[in-house]
Amino acid sequence: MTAMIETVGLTCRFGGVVAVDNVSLKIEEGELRCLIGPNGAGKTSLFKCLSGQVQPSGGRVLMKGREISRFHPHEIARMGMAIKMQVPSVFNGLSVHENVWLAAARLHRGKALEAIVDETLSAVGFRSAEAREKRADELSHAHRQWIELAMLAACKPAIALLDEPAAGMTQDEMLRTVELIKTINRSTTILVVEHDLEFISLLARKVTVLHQGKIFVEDTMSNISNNAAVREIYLGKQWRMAQ
Amino acid sequence: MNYAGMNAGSLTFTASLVVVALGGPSVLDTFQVLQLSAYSSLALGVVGLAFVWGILGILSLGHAAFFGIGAYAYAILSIAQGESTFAVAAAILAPSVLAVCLGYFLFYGRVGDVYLSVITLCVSLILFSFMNSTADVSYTLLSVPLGGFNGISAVPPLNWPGFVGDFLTPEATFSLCFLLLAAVYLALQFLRGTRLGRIMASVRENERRCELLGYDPRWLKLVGFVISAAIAGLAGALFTANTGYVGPTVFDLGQSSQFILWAIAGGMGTLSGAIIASFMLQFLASFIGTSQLFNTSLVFGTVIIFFVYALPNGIVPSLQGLLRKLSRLARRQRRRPEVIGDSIKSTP
Ligand SMILES: Nc1ncnc2c1ncn2[C@@H]1O[C@H](COP(=O)(O)OP(=O)(O)OP(=O)(O)O)[C@@H](O)[C@H]1O
Ligand SMILES: [Mg+2]
Repeated sequence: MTAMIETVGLTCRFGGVVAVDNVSLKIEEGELRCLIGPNGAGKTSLFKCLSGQVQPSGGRVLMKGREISRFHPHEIARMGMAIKMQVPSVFNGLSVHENVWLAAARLHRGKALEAIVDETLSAVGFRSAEAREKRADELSHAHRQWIELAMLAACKPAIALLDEPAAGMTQDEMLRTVELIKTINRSTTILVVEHDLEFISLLARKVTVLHQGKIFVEDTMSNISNNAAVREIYLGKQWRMAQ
Repeated sequence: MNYAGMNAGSLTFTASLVVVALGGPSVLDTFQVLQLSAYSSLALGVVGLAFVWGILGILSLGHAAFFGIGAYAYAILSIAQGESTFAVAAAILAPSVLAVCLGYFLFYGRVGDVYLSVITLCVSLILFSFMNSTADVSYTLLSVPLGGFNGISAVPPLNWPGFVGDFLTPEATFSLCFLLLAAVYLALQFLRGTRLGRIMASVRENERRCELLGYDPRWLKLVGFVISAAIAGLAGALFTANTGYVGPTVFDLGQSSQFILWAIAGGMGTLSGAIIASFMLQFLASFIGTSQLFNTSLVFGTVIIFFVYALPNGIVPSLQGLLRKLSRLARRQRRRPEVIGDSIKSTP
């Protein structure tokens, strides 16, 4: 079976900084993979390479077996990849409804389109017409992240990249986001970056640890949290505090 | 808040343009008819800019290049052929072709916003200095002398399509100009409400996001840019047909900045605003010009500063905002007792 996403020796340099260093990663169809790593580990850079926002300096990216390293972002998106960026990237000056409508409009028309918009907005709690008429820049950070998730879901992607989807959320909001991601995962392969370890353990899947642009280890969350070396590079302080 | 698409406001505005088009000639004298026809063709020019800037977020500082090419194309062809139909078509086509070439290079080459503005301005200024230096009689196109800084005069007015020498009366030209203005306005307003138009607006809001949703912003911008150039070309043709003259100043900085000023004054993102502002400011310019009280450039400098500081949203959106505030105030006054107990919800 060909993997949903496969990178072979993927490298991404910014001047002298090697943000992604010879990364070979394989995500199978239907997986929900978590990607963790300390600040500056290269998680966001990896996502930018995968989605075509940054040209890799070396190596290859394969999506369903097809090489996409030189594709434009919109071409990759049309192949079925959707991304939620670390810094919420929505249409600030447009209404919540318009944001999601734009996401769904590429694939749907007419009644089906309105139905999808309604369904995805309801899933993130925007039920009233009033809430949907708000401009995206009037919303809180958490709600903007949900709008971006709704946009992503409205695309019905084959693979979704989520860069810190729970950042800056309250406990309740975080729990709700976990549910949302699990729902999206029913039909979509997901690769998710997060710093919040509780969030990662709630998703309870295979975890890849990135460190200084390289894959450090790949394992289950419980093994990762018992791995002394990982604790050292990443969990260290945070983990001891959580104990 | 949504100006996009066909709504009561845009239909009313279109209807008023049609009323002016049909009713104007019977109430205005010939001088006013001629003056307003010329104004309306410049107003047509600014709608294209208001569209491409306000909707797609492309600030073309050289909008006059397309306007001027349309104006010259009309002048040359209508003199060479003695017939205006093909001249008008060419005036639309020629700037569109330039816009395709220029736009391809600008958008597919991913030239940044600022450079885009500068490059479009340069194109316009190159045309300006080129046309200025064609005074020698050896510079002819289709055996029509280009005339250098003297321009081309005695350009024939519009004639009924296919009937050589059967010219439209100033009144008929007036009606045609306003009807075309109404039609172009309505068409653009309609476009804004369509799927394509809404996606175009998303390019302005966040090009990266638009791209990540699977739309190609380069193509969307190119389409919008060409539409605006085609409209500017038509506007240039009508302007020349109305005034009977075209000179290199159609390409100069003053012409481009005038379009920009009107679009700013009208309000970003509104097409009707740009039209209204262009008429108001043209009247103002002609008033100052005839009264000779002030230097026109000084007044317009002041006007632009006023709009940027005092009415950054432009005329039409500011008025709409004021009306909305007043109506909300009126409603609140009526419902005051219930409002006090209103709870605040934290969920969206
Ligand atoms: N556009 C850029 N230009 C130069 N350097 C960059 C650029 N983007 C990222 N970097 C560098 O690449 C490295 C990896 O950054 P990246 O944003 O991918 O890390 P990250 O794992 O997402 O970190 P965080 O957890 O803080 O989001 C960092 O050293 C960063 O400074
Ligand atoms: Mg990051």
